[in-house]
Amino acid sequence: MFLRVLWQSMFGRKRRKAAAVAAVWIGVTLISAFLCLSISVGDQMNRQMRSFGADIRIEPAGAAVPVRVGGYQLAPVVSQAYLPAGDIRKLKTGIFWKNNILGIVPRLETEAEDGTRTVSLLGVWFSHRMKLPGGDFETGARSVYKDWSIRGRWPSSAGECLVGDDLARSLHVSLGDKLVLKAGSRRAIFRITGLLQTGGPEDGEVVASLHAVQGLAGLRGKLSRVDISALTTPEDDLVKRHHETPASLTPADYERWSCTAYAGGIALSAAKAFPGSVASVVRRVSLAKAELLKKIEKLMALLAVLIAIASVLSVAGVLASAVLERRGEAALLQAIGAKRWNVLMLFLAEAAMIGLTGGLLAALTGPFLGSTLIGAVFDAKVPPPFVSAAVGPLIGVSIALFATFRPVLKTLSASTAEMLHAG
Amino acid sequence: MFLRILFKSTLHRPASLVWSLLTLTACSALVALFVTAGLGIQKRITGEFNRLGSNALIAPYPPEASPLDTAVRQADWTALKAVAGRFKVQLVELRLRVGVVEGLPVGFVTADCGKLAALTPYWRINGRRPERPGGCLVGAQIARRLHLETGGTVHVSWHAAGTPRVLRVTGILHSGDSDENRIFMSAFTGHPPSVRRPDASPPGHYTYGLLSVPGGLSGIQSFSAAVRGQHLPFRVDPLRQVLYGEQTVLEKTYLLFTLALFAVLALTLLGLTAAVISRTLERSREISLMRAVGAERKSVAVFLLSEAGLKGAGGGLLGFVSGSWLALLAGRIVFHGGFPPRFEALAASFGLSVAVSLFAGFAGMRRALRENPSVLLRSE
Repeated sequence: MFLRVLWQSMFGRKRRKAAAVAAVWIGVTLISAFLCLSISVGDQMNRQMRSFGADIRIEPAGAAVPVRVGGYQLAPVVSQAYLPAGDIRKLKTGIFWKNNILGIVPRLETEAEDGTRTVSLLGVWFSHRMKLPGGDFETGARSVYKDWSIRGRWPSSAGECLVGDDLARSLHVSLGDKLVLKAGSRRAIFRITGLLQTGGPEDGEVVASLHAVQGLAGLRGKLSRVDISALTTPEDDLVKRHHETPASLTPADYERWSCTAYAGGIALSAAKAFPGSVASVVRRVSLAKAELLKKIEKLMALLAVLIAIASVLSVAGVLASAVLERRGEAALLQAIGAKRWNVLMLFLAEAAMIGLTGGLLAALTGPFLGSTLIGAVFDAKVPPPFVSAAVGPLIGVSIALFATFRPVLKTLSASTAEMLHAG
Repeated sequence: MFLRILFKSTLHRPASLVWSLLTLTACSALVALFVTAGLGIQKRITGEFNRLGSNALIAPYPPEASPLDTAVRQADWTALKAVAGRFKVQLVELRLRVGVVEGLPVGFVTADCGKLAALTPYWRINGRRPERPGGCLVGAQIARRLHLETGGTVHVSWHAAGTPRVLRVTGILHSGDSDENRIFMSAFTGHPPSVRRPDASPPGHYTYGLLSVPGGLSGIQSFSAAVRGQHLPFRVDPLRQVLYGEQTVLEKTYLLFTLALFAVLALTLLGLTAAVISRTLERSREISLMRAVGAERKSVAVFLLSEAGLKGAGGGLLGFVSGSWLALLAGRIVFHGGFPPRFEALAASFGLSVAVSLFAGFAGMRRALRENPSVLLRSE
């Protein structure tokens, strides 16, 4: 009997029911989409932190210690050591944290003669495709040094170069000019495609392709430094303890430290790719990333909670209105002998059915909307995170029951005669 | 008369009023929160970055001159400090001279250690910063090269004039940047008193500075323009790497806020329109009676829209108050201080709440005016 009444009630007032299901569907879709967004915001924001550029540097252990400030070399470099360029590939194939390496820029710093004066010359990969077993890896200065400000364009061939703003002023050269550089008996001609501003030593350098600089300097296969942009986990107390009192770490702590993508751990792992090298974490960048990530994650969690509350209130509003409209029907059921408990159960069962239907529909659409939102905000292709789909029906039923319970109780506590008269 | 009817009608069904106000308040509170947080987040994030240390470097830079020129040595740091004071810029002077340790030229930097510590909190130090004369902090790269350890000593002779010294290593610093190539000494150990002059670099010294400029990149640009405006021979170089990253993350945060705002508006429209239509249906007979006693369609429409507008205004004001409180709270939880209330948030939350309420009211009004009053009244 109860089921028959429920069945008939469900399929009566089809437009009204469809509107209620649609409200739950839209509300739960938005909730689960923002749930997807808030779950992945940490990871996506971390990837966005690539815009901070390189956060790990690898140098030869015996590297020179230049005395340089404000673009000026205050003392001659006594000796120079190099890294083997052939080992770069190992960063993406031979180390434990290879998947966390997002960008690599090998650099070679040297000097060349421009007619009358000596200029600093930097060789880098501008844009380089590395063929790897799992697919190609695109990297280079263009993707790692996003903070570099270039007037003109990036060089696209070995015969083109960038010139730091300061150097361009002192050499009196501009876009499109040619630079003839000599190193010993070797000579190369570069056309200036861009004037560079970095706020760093590059402002006083000529920046050309690594291959061209290695050839000009006679340093084939050699690198001064490798800059790495990595996906890292913000440092926490465990990292501080590891640095300050490594002996205080229990085996479990040590295991957690070595299995977490802390910048220091990735740096150690990366250094193993180059024998005789040391890797250091660019702490200003690493700390800034970590701090910002913590703040943004907290902010997004708060945002998700507030949106969930707004969604619940709105969807509950629609469902509560639907119940209030049917006060006459509830009164009639009571007038013909139904007990309050039966009426309550009937309305709640109906609400649960509406919530379940809307929730199931939202389980299909929510992850897709979540994936679209992540794509729109972070320019990332993310498969629909179907984990959030599992909670869709649960959220739908919960909201529907929450929204219906109070209005139905209120309706049932009112006088049946008054309700029938008003209805 | 109209206002009395309007108030009585609005307050007639408190449950419905409370529900509508709750929905509108939640919506406008979120709008106020997003606007307040959106307008204040840049300042907060920039403030967080300033807490992480310096965001620019300043160095004497007379056009077409080498750093050891007289012009560089006579760079007017007192005038620069006056400009820095006006912009609330934290400045620490670093005086660099080249020394020789075991045949290797090394940059020795003398600075006020307290001020330097405030602008370099990101340094990881194995040991401690020098607190007494004779102590020094050695950059990790130099420590590796010269096999120096905390507690050890450094024997230094100077390129330019100066008595050779023996310094005790109080710590090894890790920064991952050019500071690892230097040795830092306390301001009282680097120079004999005769050459400790505040405004000029002694011979053989090159003075530069670390800056923490409030306001991120735009703050640095304003400060740099002011330095140029005073014809001071200095160049300000923002540390672009962090500033650029900060800007990118802020852009994504604004985008997220905007998306969330649209989601909240869509949800509120959905919930409120349904509630208003439902309430209008409940009041069909009341509306029919109004029309039966002579009220024109236009008057009924104005009445219903005024009622919706009144609720919207109430919800908007309540929302602004609760949204501003939420913004204060969110700021305190996430950052080290709340987002203060903004007039723009009041305008946005009030305006959007009234607009949403009027939209919902319009839907209800159309529905109410579609009904035939005689049919509805006859069913009484």
